Amino acid sequence: MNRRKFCASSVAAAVSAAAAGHACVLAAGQVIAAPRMRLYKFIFDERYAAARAFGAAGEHACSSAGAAAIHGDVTALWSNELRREWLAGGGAIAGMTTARTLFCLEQLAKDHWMRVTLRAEHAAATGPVVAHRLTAPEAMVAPMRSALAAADWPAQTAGVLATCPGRDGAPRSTSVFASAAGRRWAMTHPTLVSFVIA
Amino acid sequence: MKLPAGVSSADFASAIAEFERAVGKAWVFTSDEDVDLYRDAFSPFLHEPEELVASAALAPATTEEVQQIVRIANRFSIPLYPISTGKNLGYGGSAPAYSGSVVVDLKRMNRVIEVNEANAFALVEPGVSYFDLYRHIQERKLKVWIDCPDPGWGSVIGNALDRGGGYTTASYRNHFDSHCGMEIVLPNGELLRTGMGAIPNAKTWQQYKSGCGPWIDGIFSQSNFGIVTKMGFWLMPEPEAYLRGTVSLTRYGDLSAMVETLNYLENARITTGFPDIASPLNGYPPIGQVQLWNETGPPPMTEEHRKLLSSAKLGYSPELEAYGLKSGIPYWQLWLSFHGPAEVIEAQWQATQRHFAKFEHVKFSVVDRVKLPIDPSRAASYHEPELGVPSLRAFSIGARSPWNPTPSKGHMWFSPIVPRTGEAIIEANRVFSEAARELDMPLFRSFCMPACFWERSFIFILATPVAEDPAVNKRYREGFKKLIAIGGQQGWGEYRTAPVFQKSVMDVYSFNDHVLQRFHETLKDAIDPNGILSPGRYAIWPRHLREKQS
Repeated sequence: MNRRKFCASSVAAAVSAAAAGHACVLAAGQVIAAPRMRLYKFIFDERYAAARAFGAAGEHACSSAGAAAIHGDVTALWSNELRREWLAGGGAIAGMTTARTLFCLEQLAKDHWMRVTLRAEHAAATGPVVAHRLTAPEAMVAPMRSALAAADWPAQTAGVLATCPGRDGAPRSTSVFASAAGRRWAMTHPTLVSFVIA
Repeated sequence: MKLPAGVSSADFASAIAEFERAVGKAWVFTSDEDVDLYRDAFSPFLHEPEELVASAALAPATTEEVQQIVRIANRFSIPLYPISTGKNLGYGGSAPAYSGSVVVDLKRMNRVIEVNEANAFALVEPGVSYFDLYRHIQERKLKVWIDCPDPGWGSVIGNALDRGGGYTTASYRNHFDSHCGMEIVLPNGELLRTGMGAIPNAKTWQQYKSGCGPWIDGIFSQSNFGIVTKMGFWLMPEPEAYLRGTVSLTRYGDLSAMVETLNYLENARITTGFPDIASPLNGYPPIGQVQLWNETGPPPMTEEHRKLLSSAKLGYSPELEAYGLKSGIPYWQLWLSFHGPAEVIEAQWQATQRHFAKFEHVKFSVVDRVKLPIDPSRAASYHEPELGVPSLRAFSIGARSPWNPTPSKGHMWFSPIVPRTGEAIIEANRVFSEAARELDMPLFRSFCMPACFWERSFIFILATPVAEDPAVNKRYREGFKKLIAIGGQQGWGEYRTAPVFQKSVMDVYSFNDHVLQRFHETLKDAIDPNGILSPGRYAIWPRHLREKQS
């Protein structure tokens, strides 16, 4: 299968999955019209509580995707799973990791002409406030803002990422906002990044 | 889309249509979203219009397709920029040296054509990464090792052509030196094979390097004279055992004799693995421990030690030396590794200790004694590349951690080659620390140790950060160029650099009124008269662009 055929067929797969009631959990009241991608895996860095919560939620967020824990380094996950999946023309992933881990995944994904389609950085701000910097397609901004304002924002984020549209070339915008609602996830560790690679 | 200068939209569109016919429409990339994938992730022009960018990208699958691409580019005067896997981060990545070039992405040419276990060599295409070759060998249970850099996602051919290095034994660490035979698409589309490969039906292409007559392989590295589509490499027979030991010395004045002893032992092939030089008293780790330090932090340091370090000059003060002696912290520490039959490497380790026994207070320690092959799941306990295992852990370099709270957006490697002497280590620290302070550059702020990738010389490899602020990056770029020139005045030169610095580096190689540069240009004009291949790479510009650049 060549790259273009792959792109076309994965969009088709996403559309048919959506039409068939393909179960990806979305936070209440959020609607996304665009066809969803077919997620292969939620990846989370098990060293961080917020990422663990994201991974736990991801496991249940989408029937087609499992969750994979990493411990900083992605070598084993990529060698044993992602590479094969990406070679076969599939394997969109969502994740919550450190920025460097995302950088590695982004570089590896480029080998298959895949790219980061949504990125949300979560950094410590004053006190219990978490500052979020979101770069996303327009359709994902409102649901992501809503998820990130929630008390359990890591879990909510996993739910929203599961509904991210496939790679459609839609313009992306960047917005910055802060939330104190999720005070128990105050960032005392490296900035974490949530993302979708498709 | 940034079109190549001097190429009309109509000609560019015609060329793209021809490229599509040659490689298939699916493998010609012209949308901004696709071409963005070829930007340099570590560009020192972050957020600046001068960033070097491609106009389009092509991904051929065969040598014949590469030949067609080159012929089309000649017809329409389209500059091409071939990359293997584009992972040359810190040295330019996948972005071209000349904005508007069409990237020829060779990663689909990813066949491991042969791995010969009996005579330990391989023949590969440019899209084969170290991970790919390692996997190929492991899956077939072949008893040969690769030598890989850190990280292992790069191309075996690409890293060799950029003269990169690895971490096993001296015979294999220099990746260009360990190659044997090339296949090259010349700028006119003709196919050339070097060495014994020039004989039709050659039987020793990967077994005898030079063939007969002028040996031209070198001109295809760090250059723009052809597109290498196949390359042979000598591999290391799988060793039976691995031993890593340390030699710890206590006196600042031991440095010179330590290096001389190391040189003798390495040049005599008594120590064969990657020699890793640290200065625990100066807080400088061996390369093999850097990722561990990034992950878990450096060893704790007392306040007294910290104060003594801040007042030391060129890594020395009598008080610091006395503190090291009192606290049992070595001034210098050599991490030496050995690969081979257990009885042989034990003997080599014994001989090594005998040669270092002349130093007062010397201490020896065995860190690892490993029977090979090890279970791959255990490789992460070591610095994997020293065991021939590719990894991505090096990317903890620059990661945010309690020890690095504000990581950079990337880095540019400053990597001068200096003589392999203790005096050169100190002199390089003196020259570069004074210059860096004056230029307000974040380099040589503390005493730095060189690396031993290559025999008979040292190399300092220091990361200059890429910042968010263009003004800071501009200052760093200018400072970087000045450091290159200052190194040149001392007789030191960079071994490799990103396109933005290639002119500054090549200007240092100026013997006899830049005759080397003029010779490169003479070759360029003869081999690539239309100047379609990688204009500007290593400051070799085709005639029609030369004056504009100077």
